[in-house]
Amino acid sequence: MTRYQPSERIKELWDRAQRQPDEMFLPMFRDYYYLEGWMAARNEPLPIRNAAGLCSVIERMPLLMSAGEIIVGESGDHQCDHMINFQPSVPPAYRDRVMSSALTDEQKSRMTSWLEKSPFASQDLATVPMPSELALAQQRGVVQVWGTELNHSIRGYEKVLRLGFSGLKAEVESALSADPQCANLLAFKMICESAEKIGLRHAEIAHDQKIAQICERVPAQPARTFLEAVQSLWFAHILTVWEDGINANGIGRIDQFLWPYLERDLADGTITTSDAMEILAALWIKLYRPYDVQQMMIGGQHPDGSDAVNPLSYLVLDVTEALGFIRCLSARLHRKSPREFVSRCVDLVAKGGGIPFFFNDEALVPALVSRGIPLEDARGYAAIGCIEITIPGKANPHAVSHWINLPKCLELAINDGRDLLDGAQVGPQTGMLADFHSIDDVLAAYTKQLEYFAKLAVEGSNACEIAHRSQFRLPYLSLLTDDCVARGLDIIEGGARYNYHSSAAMGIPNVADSLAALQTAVFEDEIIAPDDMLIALRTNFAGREDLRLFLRNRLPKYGNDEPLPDGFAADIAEQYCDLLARYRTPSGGTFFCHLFTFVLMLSCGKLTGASPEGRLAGEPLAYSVSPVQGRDRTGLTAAIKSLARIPHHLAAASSSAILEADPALLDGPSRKAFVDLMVTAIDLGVGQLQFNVVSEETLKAAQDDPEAYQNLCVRVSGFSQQFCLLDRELQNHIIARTKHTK
Amino acid sequence: MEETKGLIFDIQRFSLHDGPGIRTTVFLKGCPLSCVWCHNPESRSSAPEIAFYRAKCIGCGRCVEACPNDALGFGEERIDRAKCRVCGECVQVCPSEAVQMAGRVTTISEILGVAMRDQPFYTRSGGGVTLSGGEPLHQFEFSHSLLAALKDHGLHTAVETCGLSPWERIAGLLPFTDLFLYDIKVVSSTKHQELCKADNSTILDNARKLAAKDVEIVFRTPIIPGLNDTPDDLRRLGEFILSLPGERKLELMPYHRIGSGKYEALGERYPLFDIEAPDNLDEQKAALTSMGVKLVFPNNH
Repeated sequence: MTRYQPSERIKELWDRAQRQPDEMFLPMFRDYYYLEGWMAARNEPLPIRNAAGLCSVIERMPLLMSAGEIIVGESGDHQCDHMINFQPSVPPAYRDRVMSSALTDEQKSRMTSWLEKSPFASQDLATVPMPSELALAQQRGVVQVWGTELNHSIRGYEKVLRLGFSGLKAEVESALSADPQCANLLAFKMICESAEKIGLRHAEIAHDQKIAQICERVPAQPARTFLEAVQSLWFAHILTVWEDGINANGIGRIDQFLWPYLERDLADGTITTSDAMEILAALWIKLYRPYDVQQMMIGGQHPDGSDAVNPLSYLVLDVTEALGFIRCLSARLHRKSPREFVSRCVDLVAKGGGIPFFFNDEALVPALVSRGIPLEDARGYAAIGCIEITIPGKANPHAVSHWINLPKCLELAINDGRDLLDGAQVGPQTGMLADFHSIDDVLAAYTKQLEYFAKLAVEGSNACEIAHRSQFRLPYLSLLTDDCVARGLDIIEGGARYNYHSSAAMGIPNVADSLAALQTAVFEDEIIAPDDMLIALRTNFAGREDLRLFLRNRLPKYGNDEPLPDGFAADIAEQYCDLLARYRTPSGGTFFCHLFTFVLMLSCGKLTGASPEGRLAGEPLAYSVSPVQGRDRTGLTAAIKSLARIPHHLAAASSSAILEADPALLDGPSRKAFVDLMVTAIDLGVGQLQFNVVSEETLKAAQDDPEAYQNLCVRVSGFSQQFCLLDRELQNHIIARTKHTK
Repeated sequence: MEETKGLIFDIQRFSLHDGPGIRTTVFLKGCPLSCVWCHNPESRSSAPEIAFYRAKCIGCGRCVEACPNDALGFGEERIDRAKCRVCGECVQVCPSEAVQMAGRVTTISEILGVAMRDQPFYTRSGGGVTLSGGEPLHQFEFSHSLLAALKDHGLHTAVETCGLSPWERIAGLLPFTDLFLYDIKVVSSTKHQELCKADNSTILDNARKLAAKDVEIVFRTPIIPGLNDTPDDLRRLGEFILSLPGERKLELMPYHRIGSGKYEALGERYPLFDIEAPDNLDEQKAALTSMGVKLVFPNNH
C-alpha cells in the first residue's frame, strides 16, 4: 500500500523534472561566471582564486524559478559533471558547447580568450608524474589510477542547517583572528559571505510571500523549521554543484540531520506528516537526474550504537515509493534494526528499482574502526555515490582512487608476467604454470604480481594527491569538512580530520573460481596437465570447448556456499585489504580497501585473457564481490553465505554485491521470508548488498544467452527449475507470467 | 554400524513453499502414485535414471565414448534406455551438464551437512527441513532416521506425503514431524484411480487418523483444470476436510506445466500437453471458502 499520495502540484513539478525542459537549464553560465571570478583574481593565491570563481557564480548566476515550486533554486547546468575547473586541457567539444550556449557573443568571446590564456589550458597545470611501468599497467588493464578527490564527497550540510552561513562565517573569523593572513581562511570567509546572499537573491524574485520569507532566512541564518531546513539543504547542495559538479556528491544521512526540525514542527503542530512528505517530494524532484548517483542514506546507528531509525526514515521510503523514480537511496541495517524498517525497505525493493541498497553496520563499522576511524565517527558513515562510504563532513576519502584487476594479476602469475593475449611482458617474471607444483606456488607468484601492481597503483594515487595541491583548492568543500577551518588548511592539502584513499579490488570471484579450478583440475585430480591448461588459456580454449565447459560447470564455484572457492575468495580479499593498509598517503593516511568494480568489470574484462575458471578472453569480470553471473546456482541462502565469507569487516571503503531475485519472491506471502533472508544476511556479516528483481528483460536475455543465466530459477509451489532448461514455449509462458506479476 | 542410506533426486535450499519460513527440501525418489500431471517425473521411479537435456548438449561425444554399454549415440533418442545400465559414466564426463543423473544414494550425515548450512536462516524465519518427493514414506527407514536426526539437531521438520502408506509408517514419523503437508488429489475413488493410478481409500483413512492426532497438518490439493476441480470435486473435497476433527487447513496449488521438459529428458512423453495453467484459483477458492473451509497460502500456514 502506498502511504503517500503526491498532490497535483507535485505531479506537475515531477512531470516537468522528468521532461528536463530547456528552460530548467542555462548551460555554460556557471562556467562563464566561475572563469570571470577566477580571472579577476588571477594574481591572488590559489585558494582565493578558487573562492573568487565560486563566489562569482553564487552572486551573478542568473536565477531560475518557476511557478508552483515548494523548494526553489536550480544549479542551471545538467552537464556540470564536465565543468571546466579541473580539466587538464580544454576538450574541443567544450568549445562547441560554449559557442552553442545562450551566452552573448561578447561573453563567448571573453570566455574563449580566458580559455586560451589561463588557467585551464594544459600549460598552466602541473602534470602528474607517472612511472612508465604504471602507464603500461594502465594500458593493459591491470591498474587504473583515477587519484582524484573530486565529485565524491558528503559535506557537513548539517552545519549549514544548524549555524547558517553567518554562523559558519563566525567560526572562520574566529580562526582568522589567530592567523589573519591565512589565504585558506580568507577564501572560506569569502564563500560564507557570498553564500549568505544566495537566499536573498531568490527572495527578491520570489512571487510567493512564503518562499520569499524562507529565502530571506536561509541559508544565511540557522533553519528553524523543516521547510527552512530542506530549502537550506538544497541551496547548500547547489553550491556543491557549482563548485564540484553533481556526480557522486552525496546528501548524507538525511533522516538524521533533518529529523530534529521535523520533530519540532510536528510537536508544535505547525506541520503535518503529509506536508512533510510533500516537502520531501519537492526535494526529490530537485535532485532528479536520469542518471543519479547523489546518494542519500537512512537508518543505521547513533554514535552510542543505539538504533537511529526515526519516523523520517519511513517517510523517506514512503515518498520514494510513491514517486517511483530513480533515486539513489541506501539503508543502513544492523542487528538491532527494527523489523518494520527492514520490511518497509524490502517493500521498496519489491518495486523493482533495485533500491534501497543495503549497508551492513555490523561489517562496515568495524571495518572503519580497523583502519583507525574512532567508533563514534565510524557509526556516522554514509554512502557517497554508487556505494563508496565516507564519514560525512569529516573526511577526504579519495573515493575510487585506483583499481586493481586481480584476475589479470593471476593471468600474469601463471604466464611469467606476460600478457596471455599477445605475450607482452607486463609484470615481473614469476614463472609458468608448469613450474608450479601446488596451488601455494601459484599463490606465491600471484602475490608477487599483486604486490608489484599495488605499489604502482599507490604511487599513482599519491602522485595525483601531491599534484592536486598545486592545481586547485576546494574551499567550499573544505568549509564543510572538519577540521579544515580549525587547521586553516584546504581539504586538498590534507585539512580533513580523516585522510585516506580507497583502493578498489576487482575480480575476486573470478580469482577464487580460477584458483579452485587449478587446485582441483590441475593439482589434485590431474584432469589436465599444467602445460595443456596454459595452452588452452593462450588459445582462448580454441577447439577445447569441452574443457572450458568442464571447468565452468563441473568444478566448485564461489557463490554456492562451497568451502574451497569461498575460502580462496576470503583469503585473497583479506590479503588485499592487509596489503593496501601497509601503504601510506601524502597526508599520512592509508589505503582503505574497496571491494567494488563499478562498471569496469566490462572494460577490464576485455583486457583480460581466458581464465582457468572457464571464462573466455574478453568476457566481463564478476560485478564487485557478486558471484560470477550465472554461477550461483544453489539459491539465495547459499549465495549470501558465500558473500559473508568475504572479510567485509576489513573493507573500510565498503564492498558491493548484487543478487538477482525472482519477482515472485517479493510478491505476497514470501515477502516475509525475504525480510528474514535480509535480516539473516546482516547477522552473517555481508557488506553492501542490493537486489536485482528479475525483469522480463532479464528473462529474454536469458533466452538469448542461456549460459550467462544458468542460475536463473523459476519457482512455483514446491518445485523449481532452471529457466534455461525449460523449452522455448514454456519460457515464453514464464516471461508472460512475470510480466503479469509486475 | 553402517549408516542408513536413501535415494534422493535433489536437495533444494532456500525453499519457500513447503512449510513455514526458509527451508531446505529433500526430494526422495520413488512414489506409489502415478499422477498424470506429475511435475517431478524423476521422482516416480525407485531407481536412479539418466536424464538428457538436448538444449545443453555441445555434441562433444565424450558420453558416447565413455558408455561401457553402447547405449549412447547421436540418434534422435540419445540414450537407448534398453541398453542403459545407469552406471553414470556418461554423467561423469559430460562437460555441459546435458547428461545428468536423476537420483543418487545419500546418507543421513550428508543431508544433515547440507541442511545445517542454512540454520541461521531457519532460526530467523522459523523455517527448517521438509521431506518431499516422490514419497518420503516410500523410504520409511531412511525418512524415519533422517527426521529423528533433524529433530536431534533442533530443526523444525515437515513431511510432504500423498498418504498412500500403511498407517503404522505415518504413525512412526509422528514423534519427529512438526508439520504434515498431506495431499488429497481428489476425493472420488474412481477419479483417483483414473488420474493417479491408485485407490484412495487408504489415503483418506490415514488422513482421518492423522487428523485425530495432535500434530499440525496442512492438506494440499493441486488444482488441475478440468480434471479434479468440477463443482462436485470441490464440494466433496470441502466436505471431506470439514468432516475431519479439528479445524483443518487446506492449500490449493495451481497446476503448472513446468515439469514438461523433464519428461523429454527422461525419454518419456508428457501426458497433459494440452492443459493450460490457470491464471488464478479464485473460483475454486471461493467455492471452498463458501463451504467454510479454511484456506491457507504458501509460507503463511
